Amino acid sequence: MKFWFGKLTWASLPHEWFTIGGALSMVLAGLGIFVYLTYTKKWKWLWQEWLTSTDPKKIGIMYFVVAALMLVRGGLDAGMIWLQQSLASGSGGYLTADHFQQIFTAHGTIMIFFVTTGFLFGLMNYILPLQIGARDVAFPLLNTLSFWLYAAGALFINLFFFFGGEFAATGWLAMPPLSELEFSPGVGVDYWIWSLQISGLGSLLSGVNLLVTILKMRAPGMTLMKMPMFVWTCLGSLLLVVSTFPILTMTLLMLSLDRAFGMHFFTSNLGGNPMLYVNLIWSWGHPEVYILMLPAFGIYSEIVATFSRRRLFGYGSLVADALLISGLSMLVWLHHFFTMGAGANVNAFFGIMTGLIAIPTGVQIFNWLATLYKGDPRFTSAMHWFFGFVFTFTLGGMAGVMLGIPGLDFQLHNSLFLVAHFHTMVIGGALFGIFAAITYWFPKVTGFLLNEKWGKRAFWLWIAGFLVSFTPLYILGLMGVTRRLDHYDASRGWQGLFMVAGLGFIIICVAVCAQIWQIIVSIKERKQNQDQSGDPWDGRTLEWSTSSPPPVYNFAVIPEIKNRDAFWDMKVSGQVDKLVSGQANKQYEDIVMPKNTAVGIYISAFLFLVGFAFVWHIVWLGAVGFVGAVTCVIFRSFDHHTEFTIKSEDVAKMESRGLKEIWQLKQ
Amino acid sequence: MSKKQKIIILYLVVIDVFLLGLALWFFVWPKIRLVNFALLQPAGEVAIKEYMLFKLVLFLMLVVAIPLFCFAVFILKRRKHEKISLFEKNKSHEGLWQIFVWLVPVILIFSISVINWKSTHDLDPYKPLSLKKEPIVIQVVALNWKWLFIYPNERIATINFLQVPEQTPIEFNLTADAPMNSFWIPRLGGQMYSMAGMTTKLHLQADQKGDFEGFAAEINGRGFADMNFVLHSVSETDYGNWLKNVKSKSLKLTLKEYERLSEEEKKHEPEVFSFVEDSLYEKIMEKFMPDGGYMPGMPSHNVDSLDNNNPSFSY
Repeated sequence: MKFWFGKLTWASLPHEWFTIGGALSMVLAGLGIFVYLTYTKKWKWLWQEWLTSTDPKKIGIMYFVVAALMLVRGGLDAGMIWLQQSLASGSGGYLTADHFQQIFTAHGTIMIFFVTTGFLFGLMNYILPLQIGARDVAFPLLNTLSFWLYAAGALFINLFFFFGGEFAATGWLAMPPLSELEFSPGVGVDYWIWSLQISGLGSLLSGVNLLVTILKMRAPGMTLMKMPMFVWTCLGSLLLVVSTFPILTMTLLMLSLDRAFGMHFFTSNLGGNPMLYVNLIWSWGHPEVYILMLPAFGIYSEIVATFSRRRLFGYGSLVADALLISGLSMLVWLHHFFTMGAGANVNAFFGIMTGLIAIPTGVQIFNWLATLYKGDPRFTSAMHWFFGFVFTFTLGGMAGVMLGIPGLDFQLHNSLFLVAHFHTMVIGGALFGIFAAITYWFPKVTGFLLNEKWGKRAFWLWIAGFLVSFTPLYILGLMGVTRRLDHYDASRGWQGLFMVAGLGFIIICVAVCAQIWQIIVSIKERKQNQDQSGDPWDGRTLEWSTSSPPPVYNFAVIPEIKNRDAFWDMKVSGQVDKLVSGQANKQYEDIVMPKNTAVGIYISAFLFLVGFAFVWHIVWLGAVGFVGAVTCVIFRSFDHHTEFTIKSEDVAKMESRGLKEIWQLKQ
Repeated sequence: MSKKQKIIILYLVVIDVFLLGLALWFFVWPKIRLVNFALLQPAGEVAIKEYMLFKLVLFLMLVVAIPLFCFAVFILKRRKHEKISLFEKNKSHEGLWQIFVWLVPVILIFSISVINWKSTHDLDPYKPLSLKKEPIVIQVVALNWKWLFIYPNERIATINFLQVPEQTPIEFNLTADAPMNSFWIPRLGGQMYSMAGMTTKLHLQADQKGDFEGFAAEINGRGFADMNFVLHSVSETDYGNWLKNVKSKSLKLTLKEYERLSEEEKKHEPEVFSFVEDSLYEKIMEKFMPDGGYMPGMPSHNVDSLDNNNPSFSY
C-alpha cells in the first residue's frame, strides 16, 4: 500500500467543514460544466477551438478566465480573513489559528501568482503581438505549454481540498525554519511549493517566449524606439521574469529537498541557514512586484495617450523609466528584512536604492499628467481607473518611501501599515491597471464596447471600498498592530477599525458585482454598442488597425512602420483610406500559421502528477509523470507537420468582408 | 429613470448613510477612542527619534505630493476653453519639462537619501545608546510560543514579561529556539529578528515609567497571536526591590527545566525564575552548531566577540 499510495491514507480525504465545502463546490462546478458541455455537445468545439489552440489571442482569453476564477477564490479568502479579524476580539473568531494562517497564506499566494500574474500574461498574449505587428508569438507550442502549466498550478493549489486537507500555514513566502519539516510536518507546504513550481515554470517559459517575440518579431520599420509604451514596459517586466524566476525555482527546489530528503539548506541546525532562503526568495520576490507593476504602467501610458489624443509626452523618459525600474528592482531585495541584523552600511545602501526607484516612478506620473495637460482628455471609465491609480499609487508610494528608510522600517515592518502599503500598490497599481485594460481593450476582443455608466459606477465603488478597507489598516499599523493576528485582546480596542476595514471589503464586493453587471448589460446591449470600425477610441497603436475581433492571422499584410504611434501615423497620412478603398487589396500572400496542439496539455498533466507524487511521496507516480513529460517532448519533436497555410484567396475573402464594413462606415 | 424614482433613490441613500453613521457612532467609535497609537506616543529615546524621522519624511513627501494632486485635480476640472497651451508652439519646451520632472523627484529623493544614510547609522540597533550609563543586558530567547528573558548579570530569568529601571539603556541579545521571530516593543523602538543559532542585538531605553507592550511580529506557528509580553518600566529603587524580591524566591531554571519549558507549546502566563543555569543562553545557541564548534557563515557562539564587529553574520 505504501508503495502505491505513499503517505496518502483514508484520513487524508476531506473531513472538515472547509475541505468538504471546498471539494464539494469544486466537484459540483465541474459536474455542472461537464453536463452542460455534454448536453450541448460542445466538447469537440471546446477542445478544438479553445483548449488546444495555439492562437495567442485565445490563450490570452483563457488566462483571463482562469485568473477571474482565482480572483473569486482569493476574494473568498480575503472575506474569511476580514470576518475572523472583526470577530476575534478576545479569543473569539470562528476559525482556529492554524486554519486562519492557511487562509492568509492561500490568499497571498493566489492573488500574486494566479490572479495578477494570470491577468497580465493574458493581456500580454493578446495585445503584444498585435501592437508589434506580428501574427503570433515566437514559439506557439511553448505558449500553450506556459498557459497549461499556469492552469495546472492553479488547479494544484486547490487540490488540498481533496487530498490532505491542509495548506501551508506559513505566510505567502513560507520562510524557513517555519516551513521546514520540523515545524510544518504536514503536506501544506509541499502543496505550496509544487503549485508554485508548476506555475512558475509556466511563467518562465512565457517570459522567454514573449521576450523573443518582442525582440525578433516586430513589423519591419518598428525600431525599439518606435515601440508602443506597453511593449516597452512588458519588455522590462519580461527581462525580470527571465532573470529572476530561475532563482525562485532553485530556492523552492532546495526547500523541497530539505523537506523530502532531509537535506539542510535552510534548517537552523546542521549547517543550514534560513537567512539564505530569506535573501534568495526576496531577490526573486522584489522583482516579482515590478513584474506585476511594469505592464500596468504600460497600460496607463497607452490609455493616457489615446484618451488625450496626443503623442505621449516624454516618450524617451518613459522608456528610461521602465528600464531603470526593472534594473533597480533587482538591487533592493534587502529592504524586506532590514530587521534581520545587517550592519548600518548595508541597510543604508539598500534603503537608498529603494528610494531611487521613486524617481523614475515619479517622473512617469508627471509625464502622464503633462500628456493630459497638453492634450484634449476624454474622461471615459478607463481614464477613471487611471486617476484612481494616480491617487492611490502616490499614497502607497509615500508609504513605500517610508518603509524604505531602515529607521522607520524597524517600527513599521510586519505591521498592518506594511500590509496596507502593498495592498495599495497591488490593488491601486496593478489591479486598477488591469481593470483599465479590460475597459480599453474589451471592444478589440469582443467587437462591442463595455457599458460606460456601469463602468464608472464600479470604479467609484471600488475606490470607496478600497479606501474604507485599507485606511484603517494604515491607522492600525500606527497603533502597533502586527499582521497575521488570528485574535487579539479586547482591551486593545482594535476591533472597531477591523470592522471598518470589513465594511470596505463589503463595498468592494458590491463593486465586483457592479463589474459583473456591467459585462452582463454590455452583452445584452451589444447590438447598440457594436464597434465595426475596429477602432472605437480613435487609437494610436497597431492593434486598432485590425478588425474587432482580429482575424486569426492578426494582419493580412504586415504593416510597414514609419513612426511611433504607427496607426495614428497611418490615419494622419491617409494610408488607412488607401487600404480601405481597395488599392492595397491584391497584395495578399499565403499565411502560414501554427496548427492546434494538445502537447502542452499532456506535458502539464504529467508535471501535475510529478508535483502530486512529490507531495505524497509516491515514487512510481513521479517516475511516470517525469517520463511521460519527456516522452511528449520527444514525440512532438518528430512531428514535422505543425503548421498550416491560409491561401491568399481565403485571406482576400476574409479581409474584403472586414474592409467592406469599414468602408461602409467611412461613407 | 423618472424623477420620482430618482427622488426615492436619493431618499434611500440618505437614510442608509444616516443609519450607517449611527452604527459607526455606536459600535465602532467607542472602540477606536480607547486605543493608544503606539507609534505616535513614543516612550523611549529610540522610538522618539524614529517618530521624528517619520514626521520629517512625511512632510518632505507631502511637499511634492500635494502639488501633484492639485495638478491632477486641475486637469480634471479644467474645461477645454480654459486650456493654456504652454508647450504647443515650441518643441524645446518638452526638454525643459523633462528637466523639471526629473529634477523634482531627484532633489526630493536625494534629500531623503541623505536623511536615510544619517538616520540609519544613528538608529543602528547594534549601536549602544549611551556611553555614560552601564546598560542592563537582557538575553532574549524566542520559544514556541513565549518569550524567555534571561538577566545574565542578575542571574534571574522571566517569561513573557520584563522589568527594567527607567532611563537606563537596555542591551537585548536575541536568539531563538524555535522558528525565526521578530522582537518588537513599539513604544520603545523598532524591532529585530531573533534566529536560532545566532545572536542579533537591539538597544532600547524606556524614558518614563509605565507598562509597554511587546509583540512577536513574525509569523511562527499556531500560538503566534498569544506571544505577547509587557515591559514594566519602574524607578531605580523599585527595580532594586523587585530584584531582591525575586532573589528571595526559589524558582530555578535549570537546563532540564528549560528543556521542558521549550517543548511546552501553549499560551504561557508571566513567570519568574530566581536562578538561571550558568550560560544558558550560550548553551541554547550551541544546540544549533555542529559539535558546538564554529562553522563558516555561522556566528561564533561567543557573544562578547560580537560587540566589536556588530552583525552576527557578514555580507
